[in-house]
Amino acid sequence: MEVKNVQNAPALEIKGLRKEYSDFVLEGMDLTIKRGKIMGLVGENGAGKTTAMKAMLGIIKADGGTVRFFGNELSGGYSGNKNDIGVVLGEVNFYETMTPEQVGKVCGGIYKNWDEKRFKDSLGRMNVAMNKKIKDFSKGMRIKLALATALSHQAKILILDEPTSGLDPVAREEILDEFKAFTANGEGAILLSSHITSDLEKIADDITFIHKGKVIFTKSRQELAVIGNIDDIMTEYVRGHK
Amino acid sequence: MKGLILKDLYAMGSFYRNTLFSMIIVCACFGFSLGAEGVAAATAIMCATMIVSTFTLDERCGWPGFAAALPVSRKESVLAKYGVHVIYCFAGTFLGFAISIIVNMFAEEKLSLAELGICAVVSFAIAMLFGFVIIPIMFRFGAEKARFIMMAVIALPTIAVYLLADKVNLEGMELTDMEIKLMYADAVLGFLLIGLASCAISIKIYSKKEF
Repeated sequence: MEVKNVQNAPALEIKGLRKEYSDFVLEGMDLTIKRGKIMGLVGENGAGKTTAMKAMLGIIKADGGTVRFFGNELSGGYSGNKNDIGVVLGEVNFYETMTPEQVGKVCGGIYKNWDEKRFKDSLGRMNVAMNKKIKDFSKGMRIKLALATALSHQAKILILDEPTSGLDPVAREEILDEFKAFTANGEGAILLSSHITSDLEKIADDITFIHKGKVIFTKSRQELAVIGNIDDIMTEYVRGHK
Repeated sequence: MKGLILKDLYAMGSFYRNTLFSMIIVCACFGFSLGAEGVAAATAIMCATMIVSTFTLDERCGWPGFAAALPVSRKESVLAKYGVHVIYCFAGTFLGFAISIIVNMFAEEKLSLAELGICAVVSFAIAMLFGFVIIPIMFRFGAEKARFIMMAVIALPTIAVYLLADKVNLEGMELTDMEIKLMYADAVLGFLLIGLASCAISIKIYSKKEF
């Protein structure tokens, strides 16, 4: 299947995304992220953030709905337009005996537009050693390696599940700067789930709040600033709907 | 697919040392009782079992879920595993052949180079067959459960051959050249069919998996 170049299509458009488990249902999720924007996805533990991300990436099979990246669906066997998607799902998913240099070679054999120079530059900027084994890395360095991998294949959209969780404030600031740089050209977009709402308040253009598998609201950062603090809004809602 | 194969070859790192060490122990302790043919087969099979470890490593680092988000199809992920298995079988066969030549030099009944070569080919086939059986099982049940099943995969045919060997009387049995050639052709065809069936089953299993 050919990937169509659909001009002006949103970076990500989700309509009615649904996934059912015996004890949890992700109900009809609608979400749109425009090019050049950062969307924060917030919700309590078990709200459905990771389920939503996995369903939109095809890691789990959705029971309904459509997901379009730049106007193209990720269909059954076709994975070509995943070249445009950079992913960080927790920590780095390469075995700990590997080095970043080896990770680069592996990714070079996977991604069509792998940029080895950019990968090395990103790691250099983030002070991650190329020839050190992943098992000797701190959590922060592992996240930085995962992020460098996601940023080094000309991705147009990043899907990031808790990328700053467990990091110290300095490392978090460095990574948030990388996110801002990614969308600065007005084309790149980011969907970022996080419990650290202060990070989202700094960089997210829009925030989607999800609770028990349902999208409660999607608002811009400016709209939320008028209402109040994201943490307070979420806490109040969750307490009121127990 | 190249990246997927490289990933397994890199990740196995210290396992190569452990396998080589095990091979040295087996050859040193049992080399002469096994004979050149036994050493060739044992080495090839030990290398072939490394494919099981690649599945274990994948599970430990969350690779399958991450791979599902990459621009690689489920089919490519499956075929890459078979590719890695072929590499390990070739490496094991080559190493086994080299060791069997050394063991043969000290054996009482020496085999010719051609006979050692045939042993190597048969060892390669056995090693590949091991993978054809175990790979779909690992895709279905995961590496840890598959290890137990692996014991049965190796033990049951070995016990069956051992029990039946005495009951089969091959004395006086003569095969014509044509019959021998047909047997070889059937063996090759059977081997290819088993391999294709194994791939097809693995692809079907893996295509439906969620992570």
